[in-house]
Amino acid sequence: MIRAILVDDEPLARDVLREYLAADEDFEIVAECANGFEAVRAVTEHDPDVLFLDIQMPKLDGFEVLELLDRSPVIVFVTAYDEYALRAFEVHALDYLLKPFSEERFRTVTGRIKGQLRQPRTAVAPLGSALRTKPLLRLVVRGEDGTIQVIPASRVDYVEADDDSASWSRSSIYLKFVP
Amino acid sequence: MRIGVYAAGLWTAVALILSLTLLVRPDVPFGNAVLAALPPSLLLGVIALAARYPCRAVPLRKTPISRVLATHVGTALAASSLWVLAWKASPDVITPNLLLLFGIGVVIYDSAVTVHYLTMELEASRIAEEDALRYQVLAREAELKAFKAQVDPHFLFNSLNAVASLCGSRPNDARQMAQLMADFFRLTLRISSKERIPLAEEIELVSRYLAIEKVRFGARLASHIDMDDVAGRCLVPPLLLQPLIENAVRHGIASVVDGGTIDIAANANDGTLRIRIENPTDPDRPQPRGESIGLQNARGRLAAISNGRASLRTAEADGKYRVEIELPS
Repeated sequence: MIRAILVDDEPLARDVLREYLAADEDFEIVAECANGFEAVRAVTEHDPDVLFLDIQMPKLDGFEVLELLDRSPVIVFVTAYDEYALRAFEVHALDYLLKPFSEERFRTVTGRIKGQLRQPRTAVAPLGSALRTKPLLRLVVRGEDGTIQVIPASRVDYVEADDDSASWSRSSIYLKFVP
Repeated sequence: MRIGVYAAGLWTAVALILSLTLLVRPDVPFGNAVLAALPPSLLLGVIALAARYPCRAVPLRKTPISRVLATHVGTALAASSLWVLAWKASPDVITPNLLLLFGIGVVIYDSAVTVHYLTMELEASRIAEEDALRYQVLAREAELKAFKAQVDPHFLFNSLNAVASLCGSRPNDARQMAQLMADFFRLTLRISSKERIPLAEEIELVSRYLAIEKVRFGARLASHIDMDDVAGRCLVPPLLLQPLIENAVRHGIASVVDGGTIDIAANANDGTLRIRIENPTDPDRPQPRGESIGLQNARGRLAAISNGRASLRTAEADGKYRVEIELPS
């Protein structure tokens, strides 16, 4: 069984993915998420094989979700925007589905997912650092308990190196980060 | 500056000629007459040029006529007194008619005032013409941009994706969604070719747009429209609000996990139409650089239709983003 998580803030967009996946008995949907926060939590909890990921979502966009993952499921972006294709390639996404897509096109994607998962799983490092090609707009911090804090870069007063940890402050809130 | 020198020279020449023909005694040799008349004429020429400042201080259109008269009678008396005093230096060349001497000073000063007012009017009308032209160009550009921005292609793709999704599970809803989209695009085409439409029609377009987005966003998107009858009849450029509502969905509702309500209010009184659009937003979202195209367009078009008498203000506070438009109705 291939364990999948669907991430999209529009219920109808998830419906069509669910419908197409239901027709393929190799797939099992283990979670559905309507925003980036839920996605990060669900991936940590379920450790899926594949993530169908929308890009434009509240709080965390698809790329920011990837930055926060400490596992590397197969990624398939599903979006109406074609301008992110290059970035998707940079983060080693397996495919890039443009909405709306045909069932045929979807089947080629599920075929590629199966092919990819049959390969011995090479240890791919979590993506985090590979994504830092643009100036930071916001910091996303994941706590040990899975909670997530989003901090707009404009509200960060300073970042301080402190031996082997780093701390930074946002107005009155003070965060400490230990590697 | 150079024009000022020419003007002063011109007034000096006029004063000189009048002095030589009317004031100087006929028995004075021409050379001596000129030498005697030149200093007071030069003084009057400079004073005539300086008359521009009182003219600027009391512009004709913005000042009560009594104040204009008082100002210029006062300055004319002062100017002419200086002119008479300047002549006192050479009393033997000049006719003893003090009244004539004084009168000539007043006449020259007042004609200078007239000429200053004329040039000020010419300048004002040239600026008004330039403004009108600039607004026309702005309007043309805004129309073009509005035409291009009429439909955000991603709105189309996402809506089509919703239709595709509904086809599988709820075919009747899919039909209805297709119908909503057709209605919206048809109305867009119909009104975009017009110069002005009643606000009620624009609101109708906005409602159709929101009906489609509600299918996509489900419970996350609600809307409330409050428009009085007078406001509904006011004329506005087509597609003035639609791009702003699109922003409210894309950058507002879509950025908030639980969504919220887009509030639209319009009322008209005292000859002013006021429109307010308010939507929830995530204060922590990455801040976009500069204004969105939709907002820039709306500003450009408002400036174009009302010669700068309309305004568009935006404000963000407590998780709410607000656009307020005021235009003459």
